[in-house]
Amino acid sequence: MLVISRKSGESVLIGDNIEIHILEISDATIKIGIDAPKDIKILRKEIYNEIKNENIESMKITKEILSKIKSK
Amino acid sequence: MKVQTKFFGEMEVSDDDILYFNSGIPGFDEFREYIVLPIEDSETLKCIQCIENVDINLLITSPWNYFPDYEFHLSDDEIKELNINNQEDVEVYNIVTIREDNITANLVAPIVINVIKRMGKQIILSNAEYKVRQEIKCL
Repeated sequence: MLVISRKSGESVLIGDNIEIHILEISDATIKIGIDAPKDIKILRKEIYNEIKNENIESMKITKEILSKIKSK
Repeated sequence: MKVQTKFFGEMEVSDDDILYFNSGIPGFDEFREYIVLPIEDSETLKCIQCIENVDINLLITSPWNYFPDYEFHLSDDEIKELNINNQEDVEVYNIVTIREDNITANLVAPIVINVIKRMGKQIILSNAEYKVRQEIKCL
C-alpha cells in the first residue's frame, strides 16, 4: 500500500481521471472530495461489508427453514 | 451437466443455463458460476445455486412482487460489464434472508442478470433510499 501525507487543501491524482481532495481535517474525521468519472463506483467500505455479511447470513437458510416458510 | 444443489440434491442442468458472475458475489468472491432454480410450490421465490460450492445457495425474489415502485439506474460501467444492449434482456432479483420469523430482502444490492449473455452481478446501489433488510410479509 502506498502511504502519503497530505495537508488540508492538497490533493492526490489517481490515473488520468481521478482526483482526491483533502477538504477538511478535524479531530477524528477527514472530509474528502472525489472527482471521478460518473461510471466509477464509489462506495463506503462499510456498505460493502454490510452487503457481504448479509449475503453470508442469507446462505445459512436450511432445507428445514425453506419448507417451513413454504408451508406458511 | 450434473450439479450438486443444496436443496434438491443432484440435478441435471444445461450448460446454457449457467450464469457467470465475473466479479463473484461479495462474501463468495472466489466463485463465478451460478444457476437460477425455481422453488416448487412458490410463486415468488427462486434460488441461485453456486455450481462450484454446493453450500452456497441464496433465496431470491423479484423485487416487483413486493415493491412495484422499486427502481435503480445501472452505471455505464455496469452496463458494459454485463454486456447489456436492451433493458428487456435484464432480470433483477433481491437476495432473501430469514432470521427466525423475520424475512427480509436486500433492496440495496440487487442481483442483475443479462439473460441473453448469461452474465450476472450483484450491484451495490450507492445512493439508494432502500434498506439492506427490508421486511417482506409473506412468500
